[in-house]
Amino acid sequence: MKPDLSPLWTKICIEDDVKAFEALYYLLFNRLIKFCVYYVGKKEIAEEIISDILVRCWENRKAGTVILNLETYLFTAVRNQSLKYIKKHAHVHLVEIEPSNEFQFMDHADPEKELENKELHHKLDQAIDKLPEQARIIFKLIKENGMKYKEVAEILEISPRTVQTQLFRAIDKLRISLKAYHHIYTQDTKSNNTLNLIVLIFFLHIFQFL
Amino acid sequence: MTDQKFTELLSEKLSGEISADDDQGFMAMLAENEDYRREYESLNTYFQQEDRLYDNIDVIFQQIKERINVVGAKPKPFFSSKPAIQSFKQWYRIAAIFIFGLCTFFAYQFFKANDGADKNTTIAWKKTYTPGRQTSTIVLADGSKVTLNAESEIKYPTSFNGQTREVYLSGEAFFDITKDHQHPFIVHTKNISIKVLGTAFDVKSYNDEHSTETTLLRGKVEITLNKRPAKHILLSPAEKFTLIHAAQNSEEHLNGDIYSIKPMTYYKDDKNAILETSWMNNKLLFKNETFSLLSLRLSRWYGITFVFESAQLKDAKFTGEFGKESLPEALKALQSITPFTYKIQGKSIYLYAVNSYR
Repeated sequence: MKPDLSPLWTKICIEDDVKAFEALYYLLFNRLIKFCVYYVGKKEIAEEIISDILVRCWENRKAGTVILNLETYLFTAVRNQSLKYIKKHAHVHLVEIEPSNEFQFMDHADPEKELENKELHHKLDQAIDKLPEQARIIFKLIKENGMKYKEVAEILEISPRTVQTQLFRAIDKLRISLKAYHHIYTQDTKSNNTLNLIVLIFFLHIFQFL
Repeated sequence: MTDQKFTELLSEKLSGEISADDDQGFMAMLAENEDYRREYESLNTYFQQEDRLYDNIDVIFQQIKERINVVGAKPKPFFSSKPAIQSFKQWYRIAAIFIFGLCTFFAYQFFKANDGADKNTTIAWKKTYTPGRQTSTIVLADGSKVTLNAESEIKYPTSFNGQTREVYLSGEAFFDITKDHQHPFIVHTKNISIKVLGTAFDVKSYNDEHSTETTLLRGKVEITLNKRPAKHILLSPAEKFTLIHAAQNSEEHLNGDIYSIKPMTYYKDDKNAILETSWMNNKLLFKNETFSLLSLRLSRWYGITFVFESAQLKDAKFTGEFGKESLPEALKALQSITPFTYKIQGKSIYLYAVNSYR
């Protein structure tokens, strides 16, 4: 389901194709900037970091034909630059102004279902946000970027086994959250049913007297 | 233990890492357990979600496009092997661009000068200056209140016409701006411009200091660096923006300026005693401030010039609070922290370190 970027990248490197560069941009930008924001917190900083990386990517495209996996390369670059930025501004406390549901999920296909899912997904998002930083980033890279263990491991400089363990942890947390959500949901329906039953019996009694 | 196993298989399935054998096992688990089936369905939908596109995605690409066009469609050669003759051509090109740039610059200045004259005749500007030891408050045409600190000057029109409300500040002032979304309020200082819609904030931009600061109390402001007009920085309440002017930094990233955004300094953990705006309550609050910086503030506070006869004193740090103290009382308080001696002659005070060689 992930688009193959190699033909685009080849076109950029060999033919200086700006349209291909644009296509690449639109394919990757959303995920790159979300990834960057995990680290630096602020949109504006992330925008600047991503722009710089992409511009440099274009400038060095002749040397770029040796890059095997462009996506991993870009994510690694974003991570490195983000960490560099954080280190440089370590003495400065960045106040995160955006709420964590800045990037809202929308199911365009079925708006009714979207409303149904929205509440649940929000709860699930909250569960993920409560995870420790590494687990959170790993989960988001896999879920939102569709990355494999090996790719995530390479970007974050950890072992694939760690990636797997952290993912298990995240899914476990999601399952717990899901169960809790459904428990409340079914409890509500149960109480609704009881209420309906009482009302029904009441009306029946009234009819008796008529 | 099978529940743990289900979590693991579920993770592998959702992430696409599941092996063919495990997949069969997983499907079997789903077949015989309705709860598992429901869990899988919910989480699968969760995993399939598409993100909403980032708002600025188009804008940012345009910016990138401009940057790569400026650099030139010509890529950096993998092996740079420029013959000597070619570099001469390069120099001619660079010289031509430079001269062109100069011409544009002078032409702009020429036109700007004329423009400026026109501006001054069509809008009547007023200036208010507060000398040392005083603060003053003025009300602008739109009802906005501006409180000026000592040795500060503000230039503002008698009435606000046009799309924006603009004023020019040198020194320090606290702004309480009436909300008007149609007409953004802009404060120009030497190094930065601050655009607001309706908020309360403090701006500090003294000529004799090496930094410009903006502290935001309410609302939201957008700061633009005058040297880099394309760059916009958003500030939120309880944040303080500090710009350190060029000179010693070689940070090519921002053309020589470095800026930072920190939380406002609350003095003594009291939410009402905000260091950056303490001057409005006729209090001078300082926290770990160097004597050289503090002396600038004290000179405005007391209307006297501080001269350091011993350079080492400049780096002494002080934390404290001044209100109604007289100058000798204040100096005595400082001396109890770091010993020094002083001599007052006219409007100047000379500071000497103890045990200095004279």
